[in-house]
Amino acid sequence: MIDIHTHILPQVDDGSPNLETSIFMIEEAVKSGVTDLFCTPHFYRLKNYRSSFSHNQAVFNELQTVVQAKGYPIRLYLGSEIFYTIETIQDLRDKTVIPLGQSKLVLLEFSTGDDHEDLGEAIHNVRSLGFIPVMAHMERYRYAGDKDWAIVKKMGALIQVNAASVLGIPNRSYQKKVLKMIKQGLVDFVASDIHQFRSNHLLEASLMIQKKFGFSMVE
Amino acid sequence: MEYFEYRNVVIESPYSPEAEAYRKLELNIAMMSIDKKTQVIQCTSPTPEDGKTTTAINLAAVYAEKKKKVIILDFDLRRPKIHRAFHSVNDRGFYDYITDDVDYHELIIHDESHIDLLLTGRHFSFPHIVLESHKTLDLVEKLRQEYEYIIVDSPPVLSVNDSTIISNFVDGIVYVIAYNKTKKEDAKIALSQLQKNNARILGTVFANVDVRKNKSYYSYHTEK
Repeated sequence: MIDIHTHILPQVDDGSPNLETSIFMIEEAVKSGVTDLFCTPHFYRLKNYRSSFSHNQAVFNELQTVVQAKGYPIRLYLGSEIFYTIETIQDLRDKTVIPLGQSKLVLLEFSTGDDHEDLGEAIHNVRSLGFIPVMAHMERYRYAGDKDWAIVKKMGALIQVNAASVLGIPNRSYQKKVLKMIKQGLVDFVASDIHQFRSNHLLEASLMIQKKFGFSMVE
Repeated sequence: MEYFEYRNVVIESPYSPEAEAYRKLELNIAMMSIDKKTQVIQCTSPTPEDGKTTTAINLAAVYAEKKKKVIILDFDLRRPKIHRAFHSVNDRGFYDYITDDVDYHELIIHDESHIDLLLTGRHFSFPHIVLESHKTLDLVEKLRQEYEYIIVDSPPVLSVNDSTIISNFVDGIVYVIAYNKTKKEDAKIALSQLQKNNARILGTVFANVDVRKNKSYYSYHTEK
């Protein structure tokens, strides 16, 4: 199992507060069957999450050393979860923010409210730069409905939903949307988006999808 | 959220009847320019999605095909689309020239189609004020010295006043109407709005017509 969206890297955003917690979170991931895990710290200027790639890389190396020393059967990769603004384009050119590992996939998040950026413009710009946008927790954007999901896919972006949403946590409206997306074959990734030491919901979400749709979608 | 797809038939299918129709448009503009120079051409329409941008990019492609030096200015500052048609990133452009005094030469994209582009860049808060500014007029005047043809993509006439403002500094307007879409009444009102402003209407493009329905008529050039 692959988890492409986590805030496991310590002290770089609102995720893990220290190395110990990060290790606990990794143990939890291993127990759920995660073999590959992407550390995707926020890059969100408005909230002042601006941890640079070089800083993230240093913290990542430290975490990886500990994980390897402990012999956990898990591969770690570095990425970022980027709150999209028009500056994101220059940030990607400057490598202030990075794709997921060595891939061309760029994890993007957007405002959930009415002050949101034009999703179509964001996808177009990121695609034109040669990257593939992955829309983080697509179910959260209340302004985006069925038609928008289809356009997102048609424009060449991928959709990620949160494992908790599959299970109806924190509310049923996200679950309703996620199940509809899965039914329509629009979901590319279910991920934990884990911020703290708690269940990553991946195993439960995987089992539920298996039961409901007869196939597993958690990657 | 809307999905936009633009086809540049002059480049993608140069022997198609659609491409030939755009060559005919260029010829008609040239015939109208015998006594009066037509260098800066605005594409507009009464309502959204009537085919302005498609007309602008295909007309520019005809000029490029004729080895003319051509640029497209995206002056639809509210809902710009030229970057979508050329698969370009729209993070720099006219905005940087207006607000930060960036040399416009640095902002112009030299597309592989030999069509140059000036995109909008960021969103403007007051597009109509920007379009009326001396800085905009100055830019168009300078570009006249550097390009043989300047195609200006602009917003729909009935949506905002921007197109009427733009019509003051162009040499002529290509008025685009979509078959089976644009309402007759809208087409009339928008046209009279432009005419009241003394705009020079070069002619009308009737977009969205399925030319293949007139196969025998067009077979002359599709057999190539």
